[in-house]
Amino acid sequence: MSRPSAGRGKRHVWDDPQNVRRLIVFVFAACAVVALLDLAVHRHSPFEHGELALEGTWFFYAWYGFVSCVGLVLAAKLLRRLVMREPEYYRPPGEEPEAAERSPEGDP
Amino acid sequence: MIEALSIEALSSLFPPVHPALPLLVGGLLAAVARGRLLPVVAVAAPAFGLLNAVQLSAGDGATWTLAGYQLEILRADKLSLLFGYLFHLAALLAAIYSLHVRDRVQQVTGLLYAGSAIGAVFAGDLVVLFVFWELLAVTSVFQIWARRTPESLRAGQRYLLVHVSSGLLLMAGATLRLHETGSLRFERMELDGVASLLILVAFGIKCAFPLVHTWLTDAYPEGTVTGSVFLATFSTKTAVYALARGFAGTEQLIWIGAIMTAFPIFYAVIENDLRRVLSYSLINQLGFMVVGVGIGTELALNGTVSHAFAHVLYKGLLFMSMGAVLLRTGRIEGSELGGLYKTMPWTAAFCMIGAASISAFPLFSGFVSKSMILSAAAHEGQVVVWLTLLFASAGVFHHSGIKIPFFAFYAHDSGLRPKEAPPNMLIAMGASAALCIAIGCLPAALYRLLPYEVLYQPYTASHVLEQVQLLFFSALAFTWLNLAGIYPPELRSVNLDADWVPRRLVPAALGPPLRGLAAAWRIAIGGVRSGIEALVRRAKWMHSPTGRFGEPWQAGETAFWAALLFAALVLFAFWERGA
Repeated sequence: MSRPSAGRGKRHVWDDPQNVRRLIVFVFAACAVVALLDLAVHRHSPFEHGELALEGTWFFYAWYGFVSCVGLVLAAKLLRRLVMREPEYYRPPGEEPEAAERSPEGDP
Repeated sequence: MIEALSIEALSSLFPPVHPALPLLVGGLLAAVARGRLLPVVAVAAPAFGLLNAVQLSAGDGATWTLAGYQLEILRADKLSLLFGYLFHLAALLAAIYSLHVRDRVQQVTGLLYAGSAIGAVFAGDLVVLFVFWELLAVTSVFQIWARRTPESLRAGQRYLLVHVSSGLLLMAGATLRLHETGSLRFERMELDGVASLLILVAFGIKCAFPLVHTWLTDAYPEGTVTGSVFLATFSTKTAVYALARGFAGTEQLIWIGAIMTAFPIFYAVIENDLRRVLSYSLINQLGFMVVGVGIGTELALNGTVSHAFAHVLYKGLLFMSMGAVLLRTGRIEGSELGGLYKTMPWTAAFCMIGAASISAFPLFSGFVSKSMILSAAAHEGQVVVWLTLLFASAGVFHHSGIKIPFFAFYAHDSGLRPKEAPPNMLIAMGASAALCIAIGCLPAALYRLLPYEVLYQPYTASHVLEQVQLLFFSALAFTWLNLAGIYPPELRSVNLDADWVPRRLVPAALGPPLRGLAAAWRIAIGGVRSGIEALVRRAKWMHSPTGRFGEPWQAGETAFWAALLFAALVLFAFWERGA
């Protein structure tokens, strides 16, 4: 593992908690703006025969995106309880972790 | 071979050859090229191949007569040409990315692998397709084995077993089809019999259909740094091409594809190995393409083909960026990484362009391709499928768009301060990123190459707003889940998938009876072997100086036995005549 001193002492953009806070505020503000744009832009449904009326309701894509991702993560956490095993689960007994996994390949 | 090629093509730069030849010959040259020439051959072969491929035009073809059979080794139309251009471009980018590699096995098999994929998409009949299908399997496995670790060896063996089986199913299906229809031509088939079912299963295995998908998530993360970039490009997209050619409009594929878009993203969220996250997300993206094939309308097929084109570039870019991280840090687990943007800013920036493209942000490539498939699903009134694809679109942003760059380059500071990626890797990543943006900003160039006329307009205010809302609120969910401490931490672990059945359940269930059978076999074989050995020992003793035949005999005793033998012969002769 190469750990040259370059960049170690230097303070980077996300080392400053203030910048992280600004980014979070930006995400919240941007979401508010794009959600409110729903009231200004006339949307066209891809369903030509109106099979999904819900799609035309206000903020549909916003709440669907949010709920999808929260649902995805909660379901994935449940899945983890079911399927997660120790990293050595499939490793044959007596075999050591591979050296190649722990050290970078030779630099060109 | 090439007499059937167009006159226009013949009049251009150089006489065109079969599009697979430059890469296959390049691979053979790489096997014998001296050290310094090796990288030259590795880059020149796909570059020459691309120049050769652009000389072909729709309608070109060539046949080869072998043992009385006429094989259609070249069929160029808009579908095969687009995949041909794509594979050459991807091979060139991967070759540049691999320029620092000093491993002849990888260079040679990388070129042969790309050449096989190109041969497969230009195959006009099922026999030629089968040959290149199996060549794909045999050449690609070296991109895994070349890592030279016990796990990569085992993963490669499993990979090869699955892919060779896929080829055998294809051969069986082709043989039955010849029997049923009298033709081996590779064209659209109805799913109406065993032959077409076998061929569909063969394609489905290579396309990582649900339950037969684990070869991909098992093997791709075990490939070498550069090998996984090759792997992410060719095999599965050849399968997508084959499905688009052979099974467009097959309704079952809509549902198979929808499942493919959805189930891998749950695994991607909890997976720690970031190249395995990309592998699960690869299946998710293949799902979109399979849905497009299943719908089968012109819009859907255009969507599938353009998405395959965009996908090869952004997925290759994402694998390249993770490969650079693996090369420089020796680590690829999300739990071990973080903060790498400080010393690998270019790799981080390119990774984020790949992430934006796979997430289908407006102005990036995924936006102009994936949306065609969603629109096609909506036009056909496929409500459940459309909602699933929309869920998968939000999910892919969550795990590929945010998770990959976040845990590798940002998140907590791992303390690792690796060097930036080598220049050749940066050039390949930069070129891929530029193409992702170019396709996103100027989709007309890609649309012109698609099999059908494109009437689709991706950049409407309505569509842009809908997509931005979906993605921003997905980002909001990620932010909130992290702030609230709900987001699952990256943990060193293995997650059981469908391959648990052949790797654990079957050996556990069949183990005791198989061990009993093996013991009985050993006993039986041992008995036979000791019997034969005893017989040989006895015969040797009989002929030894002290044995019955080896010891010196008295003259009288010899005469007695000779006379007895003679008398027996005479009696036998009389009895024989009397009978």
